[in-house]
Amino acid sequence: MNSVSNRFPKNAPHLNEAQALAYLDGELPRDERETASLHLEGCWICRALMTDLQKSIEGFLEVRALVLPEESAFAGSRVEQFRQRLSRHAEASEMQAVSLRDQARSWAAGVGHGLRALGARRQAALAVGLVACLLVVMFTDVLNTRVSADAILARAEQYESAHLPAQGQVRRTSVRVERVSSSRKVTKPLGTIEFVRDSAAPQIYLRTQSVSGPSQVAVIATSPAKNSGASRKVWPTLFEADDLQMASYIQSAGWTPDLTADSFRALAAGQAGVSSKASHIGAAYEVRYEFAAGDPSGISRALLEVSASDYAPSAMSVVFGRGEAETEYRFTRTSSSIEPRSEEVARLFPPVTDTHAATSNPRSLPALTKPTPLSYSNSKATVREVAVAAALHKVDACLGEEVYIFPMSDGSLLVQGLVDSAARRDAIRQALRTVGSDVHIEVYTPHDIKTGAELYNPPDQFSIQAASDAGSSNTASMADMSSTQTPLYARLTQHFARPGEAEEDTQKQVSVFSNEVVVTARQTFLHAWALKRLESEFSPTRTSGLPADSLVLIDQIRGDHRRWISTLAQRQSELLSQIADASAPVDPSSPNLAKLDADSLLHMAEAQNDLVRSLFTVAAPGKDANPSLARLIALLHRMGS
Amino acid sequence: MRGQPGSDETKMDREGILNLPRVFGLEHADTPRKSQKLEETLVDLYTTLRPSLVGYAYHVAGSSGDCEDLVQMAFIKLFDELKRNAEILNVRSWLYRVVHNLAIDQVRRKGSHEAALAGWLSDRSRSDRASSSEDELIRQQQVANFLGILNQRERQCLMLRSEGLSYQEIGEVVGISHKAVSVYLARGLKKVRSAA
Repeated sequence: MNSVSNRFPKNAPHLNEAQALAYLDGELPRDERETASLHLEGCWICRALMTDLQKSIEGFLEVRALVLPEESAFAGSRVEQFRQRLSRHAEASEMQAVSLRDQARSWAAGVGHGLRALGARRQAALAVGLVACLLVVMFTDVLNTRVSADAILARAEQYESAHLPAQGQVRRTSVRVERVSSSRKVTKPLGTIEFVRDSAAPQIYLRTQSVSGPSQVAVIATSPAKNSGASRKVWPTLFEADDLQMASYIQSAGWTPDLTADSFRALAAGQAGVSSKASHIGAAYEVRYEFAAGDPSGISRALLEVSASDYAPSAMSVVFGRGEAETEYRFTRTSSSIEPRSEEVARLFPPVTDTHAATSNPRSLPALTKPTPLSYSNSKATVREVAVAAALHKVDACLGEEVYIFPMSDGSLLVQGLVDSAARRDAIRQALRTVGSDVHIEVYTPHDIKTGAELYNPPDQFSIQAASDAGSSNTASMADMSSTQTPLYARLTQHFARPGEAEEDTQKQVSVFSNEVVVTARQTFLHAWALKRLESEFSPTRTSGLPADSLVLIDQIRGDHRRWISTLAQRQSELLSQIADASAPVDPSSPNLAKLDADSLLHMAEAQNDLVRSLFTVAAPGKDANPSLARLIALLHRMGS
Repeated sequence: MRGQPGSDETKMDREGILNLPRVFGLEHADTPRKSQKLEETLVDLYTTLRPSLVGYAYHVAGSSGDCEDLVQMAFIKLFDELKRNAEILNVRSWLYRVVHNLAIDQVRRKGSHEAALAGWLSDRSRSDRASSSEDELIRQQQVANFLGILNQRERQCLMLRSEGLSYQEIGEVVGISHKAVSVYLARGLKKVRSAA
């Protein structure tokens, strides 16, 4: 302590810059700090140094702000992207852990078996040798094969079946073909293959194009067994005289390199002596078939690369020959997307019954398009879309907020919208978290919009109009009590006035009452609007292909809104009956709520909202409120029935 | 003056700006299925720390696109560490350290730091050209001066300090002593002052 405290005696050396800064930053040890503090009390020079440092800090912070990247409007989507990346990573690492556990278990079983053999028989040396061999085999296996080839292929098949084009769509996949010669160590691009998998029938449109330009097309069946050589004529476009082995294999086996787990399995099908293994390499799994020497196909090995995150096959190699004479044919997926089965696409395929009608005139494919929102009229509702709607309904995002579900042209869903605050935005994102990964969420706040986010028009005509109407006609959510001229003011004051009570208290009661009526009326309107929006979003034509449980879910949402309309209307009519002269006549012939369609309900809800506004929020001195009030109560009776 | 020097409690924690669990350990990682609880915690942590970490990575590596990726990679590493029950006493400085190392690696792979900064400057001037006014030019000059006069260590220490890291934490991230941090900071600030 003494040695340190002597560092800053009053009459001695000033604080150096590092000490002064550490003092400002609260980073000096306590004893030094106390001494420094004492010194500073009497030293202008050091205090001036502090001020200089403070200015430098400010200067630095100013420039730092210029160096830092601007915060992107898509911070939310970054979080979502990270969430998905992390969950893929967690899944992959879990699977790896499971497979390692399996390996360890079988290793332990092997050792146990060896030990038993050692005890039970006397041929100890042999048993030990056996165990040692087993260990070596197991150990090398652990290093190279962490997952079984079958498990990977099964997962890849699962991925493929989950990503088949739905009705009204096709999947288009592009594959690059290259030849790698080990002797010359050269990679020669041969061309590309484009596959368009149909949803209307089990068929694939196939188009090969060589690097030099010529192309050929064919339509083949998805099952190799049914492929009666329809694809034969397309291969000479890609494989030349140098590729005799590949050309003859593909012709004789009727094999299609469409980068599916199925086509990979087909390589080894029926071949004796093919061994398989899989390993985890970087962000991919590699499944490998080793063919026996002298295999009639001429193939020495085949490889399939599968993404470790989602098990999508991404590349396949078929290798002919061995050693120096090795020639590898590499098929790499360059793109894969779901597209609508537009008329143009449908023309690529022959009528469904004729599965091997190859065309003689190559038809050109329509160009790939960026996914765009589809309108409700030219898209079908999906199970996922219903789930998203239900999730939004749960957080009341269907009540007057501009949040829409867009079916996209590539089959995905986009939830896009504009909400008031970041907290609300996060709540909506949170609610949608459970729905699944292929739903894109773009919910913005007005600030995000200012910084460049773009909003699509709502997917139906109705919502634009209704949303803006809803916004404008409902801006007055609180009754306007600044004016005492609203039509019902006198009556309300009279109703709430109690002898001996201060006028201020009466006014407070009037104000609470009026606000409740106005808010309830607005809520009623918003529920009616949500109901109408639901009708257009899940119209009978859009929901015709949905399973029963999705339809039930839509009915539940509908039921919720109707119940709310009825409850709110009842509450409101109870409130208003207190101040009405006489109870309004109930028309026994009027249909009850359940029988009213969404349009009529919306009109009624709009009318009651307008009436409430005219009675509670708009100044109209001298106006007789009775007729409006009577009409309003009658309307509410009908809606609340 | 706030806090006790030498304590491992960071300033932001003391001020309640970040409510981080002090020790990440087994109880977070050991959930029955897919360690979902840990994932959720990390996503929340990512949401909180992303802007600062990306800012720092951007400063060290000089390219915004890759920085987002660097930061995500750091969190994935954190996930792996916690899964194998590693005990990390100060998550924030651990993350800064990983981001720092990843960014340095990236700079090494892609070329010198100076090249990264030059690229940064040209990016910025391109995007600013449309609204280029005299003020803008002066500001760009300021930035260029600032980047030119500070050496790498001084820049890193100043950046980390401005993110609220203590000297101890900065030392851990950059790999230097507490004392050296205070010297770099003071020297850096002196240069900033002389350039202004």
